[in-house]
Amino acid sequence: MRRLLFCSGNRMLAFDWSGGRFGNAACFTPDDDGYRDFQRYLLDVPRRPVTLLVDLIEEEFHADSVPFVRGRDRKAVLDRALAKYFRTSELRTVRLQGRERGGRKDQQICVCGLGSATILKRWLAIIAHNRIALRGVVSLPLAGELLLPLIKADKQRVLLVSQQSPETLRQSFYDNGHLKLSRLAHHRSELISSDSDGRPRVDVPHVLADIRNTLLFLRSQRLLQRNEHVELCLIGKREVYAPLEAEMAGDESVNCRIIDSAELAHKAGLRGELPTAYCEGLFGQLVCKHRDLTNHYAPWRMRRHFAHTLARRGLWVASAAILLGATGLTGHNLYNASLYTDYALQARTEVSRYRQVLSEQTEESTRFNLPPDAIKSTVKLVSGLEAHGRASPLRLLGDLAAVVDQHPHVDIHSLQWQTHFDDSITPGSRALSSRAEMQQQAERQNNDREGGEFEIARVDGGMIGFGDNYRQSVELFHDFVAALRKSGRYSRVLVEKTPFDMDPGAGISGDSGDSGAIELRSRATFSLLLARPVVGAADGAEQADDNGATGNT
Amino acid sequence: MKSTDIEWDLVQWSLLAALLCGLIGFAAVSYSGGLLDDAYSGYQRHRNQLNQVARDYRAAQDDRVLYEQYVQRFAELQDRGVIGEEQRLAWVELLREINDQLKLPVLRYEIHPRQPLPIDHPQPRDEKLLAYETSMTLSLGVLHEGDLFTVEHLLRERAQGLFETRGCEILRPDRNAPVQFNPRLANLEAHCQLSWYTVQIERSEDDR
Repeated sequence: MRRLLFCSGNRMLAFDWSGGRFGNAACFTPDDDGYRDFQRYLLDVPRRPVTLLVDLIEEEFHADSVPFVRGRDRKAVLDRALAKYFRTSELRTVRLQGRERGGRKDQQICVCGLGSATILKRWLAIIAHNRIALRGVVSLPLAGELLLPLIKADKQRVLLVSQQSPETLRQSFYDNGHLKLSRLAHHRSELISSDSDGRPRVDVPHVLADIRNTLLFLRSQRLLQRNEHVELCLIGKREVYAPLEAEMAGDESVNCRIIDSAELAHKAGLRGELPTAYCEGLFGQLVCKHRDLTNHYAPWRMRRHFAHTLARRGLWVASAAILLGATGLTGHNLYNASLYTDYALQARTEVSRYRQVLSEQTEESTRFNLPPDAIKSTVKLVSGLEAHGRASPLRLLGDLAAVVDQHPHVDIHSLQWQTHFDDSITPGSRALSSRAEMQQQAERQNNDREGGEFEIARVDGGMIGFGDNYRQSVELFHDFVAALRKSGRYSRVLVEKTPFDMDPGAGISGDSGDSGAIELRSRATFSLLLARPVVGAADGAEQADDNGATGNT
Repeated sequence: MKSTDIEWDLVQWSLLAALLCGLIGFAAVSYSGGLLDDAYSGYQRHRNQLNQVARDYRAAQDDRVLYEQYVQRFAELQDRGVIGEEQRLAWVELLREINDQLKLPVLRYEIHPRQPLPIDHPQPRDEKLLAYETSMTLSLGVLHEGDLFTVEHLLRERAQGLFETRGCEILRPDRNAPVQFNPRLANLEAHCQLSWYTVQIERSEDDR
């Protein structure tokens, strides 16, 4: 819903416009009664911003050109142009209309305004006094630019003629869609009267004279070249202006068209009837429909109530948006909070369930009141120790006895046995004097562990039953040693001392007499070193390593 | 537009409404935001607890597997006296028992003070484990080698603990003397070094 005021100087019309239809029209005259009625009207009808459409004789239009500049310079140039034509009037504007094609390519402008605002002053005062929001003051000829596309005349030079009140004739000249000049001719009598048949007829001579004068003026102002073709569009009721078209038919420089105002209004989007017999409804339709067309002349001071209205509406909309947003956000927060609460509840239930299971498991595994890793470490350590202590001298003794059984000339006197990681040591040398020595040996043992643990035995014995045959004794001993090696039960069989030691490095002496038999037996002794891996020691070492047990720890 | 140009009475209600809506909206959003924060914090707390307890549960499952794998052996070792205090009395009694059974001419023993496990032995990695070695010198006088086998067999079978024969010297006291058939006289002497191992577990306050 929009409210439109139309001021033609001798009257003020008020319309309500909604959805392309005019309604609640009211007319006020510029006298005290009219002003009072207008004030009463404004107070009685719902308060709504108004747009004032003016079609006044005081309106002036000056086509001009200024240097093409930008920014502050442009503003200064335009302000100067405004001041040049409308020094005292507040109701003024300047329109940019493109650039000239030749020369400096100056900016073409049209400076428009009301030379005198006396007629409007009272109406505007009433509007301001009643704090009615004035959306803007719109010039009818400038609004006419919006009509040109509808009559397909926005690329030509067009003289648009329309009548908004009985005594006036508005003629506006447009070049390529831009208003260049407009004049309002005022007549003493109404331009449309009824003929003898009661049909309305235009006052052809007066109107024709007005149009010819305007064309002459345009040519004199060089807005039209001599004999240049111009489109003359007469807007009104077709039957009223039909005689005029016939009169203009003879002029070859003018192409006269009569455009029916009702048809044009419908083309402009009007759904109902025009509110009057004239064209103010058509222009009102344009103003109301084009929401971006709000103001031409009114300065900010006159529009401040409209600014308040906009602010008020904005605040209400903001309030609603805030409420809506806050409601949405609050709902979102509460929804998420409830979700998180549910999740937390589920998590708490899960925690309780886990704890219950854990508690049951802990009860099961507290038989020894020890953590499982301690139990594992203990078992692994003991397994390592068991593997370490798996060797026994008796097995070696048994194996040795099996070989000795086959060699009756061998007599075992003693056996020294021990286990070690180094199979090159001699039994009996195990006692270590210092801790440092022990450490060194442990390191050696760690290195030797790849080969595993060894049983090492020193076997002392003698040869018997060979008479006085040294050579046989030595041969029997060598047979014995060979049998030991051949048995495959020893990794190393080392002869430390042979019977009748014939080593070139050793001394030798003898007694071939009777006492020699005893000496012979004493000299037929031998000493052997046997070494072999401990059975299962490698497995035990692996287990111990798995436990991380090392000699260095 | 200056502030003096503003006609406050034209916009006062809408301004008041906007302020009121702003306040109400802010209060509602703040309150619900607080609730959301609380709920989220609670959720995070419980989720962290859940993650922690789930980790504990997985660790407990691993422990359970370990426990089930080793507990039987552990109990067996504990029953055998390998784990815990050393069983000196049991060892002495066992030796006496063996001697009673075999009627050996000589069976002497000497038990030395308990020492930490020598460095050339597998060492415990767990610092809670304390491994000890108790050296025993066993001197035997036997009729023949078979007695040695029997003694070792009985020791391994009945001993309360774990031992290792570290070294042994078997010799005939008089290699020129003929074999004696008197059960009170020994034909062979054996001097063996035995190491008895015991493992003790230092229990922490938590374990108790």
